Amino acid sequence: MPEPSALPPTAYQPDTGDTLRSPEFEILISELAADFVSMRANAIDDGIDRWLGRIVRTLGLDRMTVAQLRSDSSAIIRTHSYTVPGHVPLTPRVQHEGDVPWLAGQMRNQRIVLIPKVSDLPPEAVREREFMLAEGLKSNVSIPIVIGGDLIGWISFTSMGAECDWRPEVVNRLRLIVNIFAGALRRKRDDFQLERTRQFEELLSAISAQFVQLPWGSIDRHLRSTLQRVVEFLGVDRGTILTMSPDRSALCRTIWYARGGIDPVPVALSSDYAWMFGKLCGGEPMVVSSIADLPVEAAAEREYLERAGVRSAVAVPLFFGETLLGAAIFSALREEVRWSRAFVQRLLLLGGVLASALGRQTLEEAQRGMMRFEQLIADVSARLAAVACDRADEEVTRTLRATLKFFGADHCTLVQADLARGSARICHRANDTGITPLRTDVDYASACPLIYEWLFRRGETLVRSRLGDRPAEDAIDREIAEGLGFRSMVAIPISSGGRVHYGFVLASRRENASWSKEYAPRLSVLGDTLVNALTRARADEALRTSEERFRSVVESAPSGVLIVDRDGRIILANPYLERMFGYRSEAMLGRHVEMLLPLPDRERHHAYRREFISETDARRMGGGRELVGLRKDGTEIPVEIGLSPIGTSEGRFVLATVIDVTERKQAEQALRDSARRLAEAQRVARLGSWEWDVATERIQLSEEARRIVGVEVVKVSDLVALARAEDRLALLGAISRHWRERSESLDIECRLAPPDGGAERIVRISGNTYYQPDGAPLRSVGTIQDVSEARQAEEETRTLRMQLWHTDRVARSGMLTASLAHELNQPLTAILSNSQAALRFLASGNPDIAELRETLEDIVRDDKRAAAVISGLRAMVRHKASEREGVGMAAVLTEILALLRSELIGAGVELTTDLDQDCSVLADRVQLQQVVLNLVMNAVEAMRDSKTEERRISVSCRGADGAVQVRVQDTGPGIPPERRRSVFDAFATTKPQGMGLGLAVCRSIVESHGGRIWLEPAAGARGATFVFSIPAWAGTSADAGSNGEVVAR
Amino acid sequence: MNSDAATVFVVDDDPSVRRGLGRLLRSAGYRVETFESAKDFLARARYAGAGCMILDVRMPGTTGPELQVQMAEMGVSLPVVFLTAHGEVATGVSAMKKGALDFLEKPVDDEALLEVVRQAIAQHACTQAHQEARRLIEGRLATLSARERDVMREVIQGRLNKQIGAALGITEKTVKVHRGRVMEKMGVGSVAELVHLCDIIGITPALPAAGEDEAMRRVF
Repeated sequence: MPEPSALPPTAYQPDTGDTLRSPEFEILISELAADFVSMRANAIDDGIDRWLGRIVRTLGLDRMTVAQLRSDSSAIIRTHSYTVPGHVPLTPRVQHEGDVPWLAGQMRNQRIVLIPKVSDLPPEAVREREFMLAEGLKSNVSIPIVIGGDLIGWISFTSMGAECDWRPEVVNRLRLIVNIFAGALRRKRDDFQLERTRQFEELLSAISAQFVQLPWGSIDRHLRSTLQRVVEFLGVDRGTILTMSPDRSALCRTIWYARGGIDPVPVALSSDYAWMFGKLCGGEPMVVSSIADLPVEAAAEREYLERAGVRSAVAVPLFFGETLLGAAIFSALREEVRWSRAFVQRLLLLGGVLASALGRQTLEEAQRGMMRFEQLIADVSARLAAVACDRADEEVTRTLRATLKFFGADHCTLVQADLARGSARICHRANDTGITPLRTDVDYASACPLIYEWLFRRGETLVRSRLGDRPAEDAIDREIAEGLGFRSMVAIPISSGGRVHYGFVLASRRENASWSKEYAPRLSVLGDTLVNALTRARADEALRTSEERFRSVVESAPSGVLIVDRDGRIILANPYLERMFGYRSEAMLGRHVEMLLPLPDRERHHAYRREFISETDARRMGGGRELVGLRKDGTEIPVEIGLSPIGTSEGRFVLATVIDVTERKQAEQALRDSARRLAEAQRVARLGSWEWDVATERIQLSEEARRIVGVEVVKVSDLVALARAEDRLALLGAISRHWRERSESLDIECRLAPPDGGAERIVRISGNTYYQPDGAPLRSVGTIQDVSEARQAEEETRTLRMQLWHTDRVARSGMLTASLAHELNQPLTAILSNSQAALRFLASGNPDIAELRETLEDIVRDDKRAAAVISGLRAMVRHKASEREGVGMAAVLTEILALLRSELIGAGVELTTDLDQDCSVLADRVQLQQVVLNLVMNAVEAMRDSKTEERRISVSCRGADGAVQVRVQDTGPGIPPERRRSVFDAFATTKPQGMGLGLAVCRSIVESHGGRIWLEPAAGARGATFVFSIPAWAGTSADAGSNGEVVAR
Repeated sequence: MNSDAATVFVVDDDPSVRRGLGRLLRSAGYRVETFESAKDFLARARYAGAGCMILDVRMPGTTGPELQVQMAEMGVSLPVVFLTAHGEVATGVSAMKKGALDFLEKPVDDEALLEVVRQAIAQHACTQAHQEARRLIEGRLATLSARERDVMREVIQGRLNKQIGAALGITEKTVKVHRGRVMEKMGVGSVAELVHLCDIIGITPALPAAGEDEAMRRVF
C-alpha cells in the first residue's frame, strides 16, 4: 500500500509535477480554471455540479464526490456528487466523523489518501472497508481541500469498474483540479462570511439608529422586536434582556423573545450563578459554545444549562455609564453554535446600544415623574402664596384634585385633627369620578383609632400598598383594608403649630405602586404648603374680624372714645363723644386734642401729652383729679379720662376714653375690653411690642411679645442671653450700633433658643429710639415678630431649587459619561501600558534603572490626571449645600472645559478660549461650572446637525464695570427671533431629548449670585452668544470664610 | 517574517498614551514610531518594510477613521488597529467596515495588544509577499511582445493552436512558435501553470480583475 503523502501547505505553490501532456486534459483544466475564475460566488455550487460529470468522464472514472466540513467542524456534508450512469448515485447527505473515522483522521492531517484496491486499507479502517464493499467501490483517492491552512473538506475520485494504481502524475492532475475547486469554495465562503458580517452590521446600525430616534415610552416595544431580529439573524432560539434587581441579587427577565415552542428564560437568575455574574459585572461577555467548554467553577451554570436544555449561550453585559443595568442573553437549544470572536465583539456593541436605550428609559422615567411632581408643587406654592383668604379653601380642594390626578388615586383628602378633643374630621376632599366621596360627618379618630394614634399622636408617616393580597396581620393594616376598604394608602401628618394638626391622605381601592418612598418627603412639602395656606387664611380672617369688632366697639361704646396720634391730632372720635361735646366727628378729625379742653388747661396738657406719648401703661389722666372738658357750645362737663397707648407698626397712638363720672364703671369696663382685643389682635398677627426705658433699664413686653420670647425678660441682657450663641454678638452689636449712631432704626433677625429646650424660633426685632432734647436716649419702642414659619418656607423653596439644580447637573453629567470615560481611559491606558512595559523590562533580567524611573514617574503623573477627572465628575454629581467662596473665574472655566475636552473632540468642535486670569467672584464653584457646562453643551447640541464646516465655540471671561463677564459663543444656526424672548423659560426646549431646564437653571443660578444672563443680539448671520455677568469680588481667599449674613463688629 | 524588523506606528493625540504604548511595544522588541496627529504621520516618508498601525479613533483635526480612508486612497497598505474608548459603538462598526483589522478598547491589556500587533504584522508580511510575486510575474509579462500577449490571452482561454491562428489571422506554425516563447519567457512548463500565474496578477480570460472585492474579502 502506498504511503499517504503530505500536501504542501500553501495554495499558491505552482504545480511543478511531471504532468501528463494529454491535450484533452489540458483543455479541461484551462476551461475549468477559466470558468471558475470568473464565476460569481452564488453560482459556484451550480458550477461544481455542472463540472463534476465532465471531469469524471474525461478522466475515465466513475464517481467524484465533494464533502465539506461544517464551519463548526461538527459534521461532514456531502455537498456534490456525480456518478456515471449504470451505477447507483450517492445522495448529498450529512455525515459525522464517526461514519468514516480513519479517513477523516487522515484528512485532518492533510494527507492524500490513495486506495488502489480495497485490500490496501489498513486494518483499523473498518468503517471505510464496509463502506467500499457495500457501495461496490474498487479504487479511490481522497484529496483534502485546504484553505489558509484549515481543512474545509475533501474531494474523492472513485473507480467502480476497475482497480486503479493512481500514478503520481495523475494524482498531481487531480490536485490541480482540487486546487481550482478550493479557490472557488474559498471565495464562496469568504463571500458568505462577508455578507453575513455586513448584514449583521447593517442590522446593528439600523438598531442603533432606531434607538437614538425613539421617543420616550416606545422603547419596550422596540426592544422585543429588536431581540426577535437578532435571534432570527443569529439563527438561535431565544433572546432575553434581564435587568439587575434593585438589591443586585438577581437578574430579572424583563423582555424576551423565543421561537415557537421554546420556553422563556426563568423569571430571575440569582447571583448564585457566580461565574456568570462575575463575568458580566467585570464587563466581559459570557460565551458558552458548548457546555463541555465550561470551566470547573461554573458548576452551577452547567447544571442550569443542562436542565434547561441549552446547548450554547452568549450573554453580554448592559452597562449604562458605570452602572450594570443587566444583560442580554442569546441561547441556542436545538444545536450548538460556535460564537466567533468577531460576532461576540459585535454583540457587545449591540449590548451597548440596548443598554443606552434601557438606561435612557429608566433615567427619563424617573426624572419625568419627579419633574412633573416638582412642577406641581411649584405651581401650587405659587398659587397658594398669593391666594386671598376667602378663596383658600377652594384652592386647597383644587390642589387635592390635581394631586389625585397625578397619582391616579381614588381619594386625596386633608384631615383636620383636634388633639385636645381627640377628634379628626375631613376638612377638604377630592375623589376620582365614579368613586363615592368619603364622609365628612364621621369622626375618624374614633372610626380609625390606630391610624389616628400613629399619625397624630406619634406624628409618623404611614405608607401602605398591596393590602388585601393576604389577610392583614397588622392591626393598622386591618383598619385600612377592612375598615376603610383601601388597598393602598399614604398618610402624612402635618403640624400647624397649635393643637390642631392636619393629615394629608392619598388612598386607593386599587393597587398603586407609584407613590414610592421617594415621593413621601415631597408629598409632605406639598401638605405643608396646603396647611400653611389654610392657617394663614384663618389668621387673616381672625384679624379682620377683630378689627371690625374693635371699630364697632369704639363706634357703639357708651362713652366717648378718642384716638390721638403722637402729635396730639385726633384721628378717631366716636358718636358718643360727638354727642358729649356737641361737635360732629368731621369737625374734630385732624385737629389737636386741646380743642376739647378749657383754655386754662390747654398749655399744661400740651406738656403732659408729650410726656405720655412715650409711656407704656394705660393710666388715668389727671392723677385722680376731676377733669373738665369744653363743649362746642362753651359749656364745660366733668369727665374722667383714661389714656392707653397703642404701639403698632405704624407708630404710636393714644386712645383716650372720656366718661362721665357717673358712668365711670362702664367706662373702665370698655377700656379693659379694648386692651384685651388689642392683645388678641397682636397675638393673631404674631406681632408683639416692647419698650425699653433708659432710666430704669427695663424692658416691657406686650402679652404677645412675652408669648414669642417664651420667658420673662426684664433687661436687654436677658433677651441677648436667649439668642443662640452664634447670634448673640450680632444682636448686641446691632442694638448698641442703633443707640450709638442714632439715625438708624433697629432691624435685625436672630434665633431665640428657649432655655426650657422648646422649639427654636426666628424673630425679627425692630424699633426706634426717642431722645431727650440734650441728645440722650429716652426710651426705645418697637415690635418683635415671630418669622420662623416664613423663614422655614423660604428655606424649603431654596432646598427645592438646589435639588432641581442638582438633578439638572446629574442629568448633564450623565450625558457626558461616554466622553468622561474616554478622558479617564487615556491616563488609564497609559498607566496600564507603562506598568506592563515595566514588568517586561524587569522580566528581561537586566532592567535599565533610568528607564524604570522614568516609567514610574509617568505612571504617577497619569494617575494624578485620572484622579482629577474623577474628582471633577464627583463634584458635579455630589449634592451639597451651596458654598460661596472667592474663586478665580479663569480657573473655574479651565476645570470644567477640561472635562468637556473629549466631548468637544467627539462632536468635531474646536474650542478657543480667552480667559482673563485676574477675575475673581464670590460664588459656588460647582454651580458656576454647571452654568458653563449647560451653555457649552447647548452650543454643541445646536451645532450637531449644523451643515457648516466650521464648528467652533469661543469661551472668554473678562472684568467690566465691577463685574465679571463670561461669554460663550458658537457658530451654530443661532436662536430664531421668535424664540429669543423665551429661551430662559423652563420647558422652552426645541430638543427632542432635553428637558428644557438647562437655560432656566442657568438663569436661576446666575441670579442667585446676584448676576444676570442674557442672549446677545445676533451679530452677523450665524451663531448664538450667551453672556452672563456676576459681581466681581476684590477680596483675598483668606476673607472668603466669613461671609455670613450677619457680620459682627 | 522576522518581527524584529517590523515597525509599529502609533498615532494618538495624547502624549501619555503615546509614551505608554511606545514603551510597551518596544519592550516586546518592536521598533516604534509615534505621531501626535494624522498630519504628522502623513508627513513621514513612505515606509516600505513590514509593520502595522495603532490608531486612536478620537483625535482633534483628522480623526482615526478619516486617516484610515486617506491611507486607503494613497495606497498605503499598513494594517490598522483602532483604539477606542468604551461605548463608541458607531465608530467601531464603521472602522471594521472600512477594513480595520481589529479594534481594541482602552485601556488595553498587553497580551491582547501584542497578539493583535503580531497578527497584523504577519498579515502585512503575507500581503507584501503576494505583491512581490505579482511584481515578479508582471516583470516577466513585460518582456512579451504584443503578438505574444495576444497569443497568451487565447491560450489561457483553452483555445487550440488552430483556433488561435484563425482568430489572429496567422498560421498554426507561427502560433506554435509564439506559444513556445510565451511559455519560456513566463517561465512555465504547462498551460495550467500559465493560467495560475495570470490568475495571480489578475489577467483573466474575459473579466476585469476584482481588486476591490479582493481587498474586502481579506478583511473578514
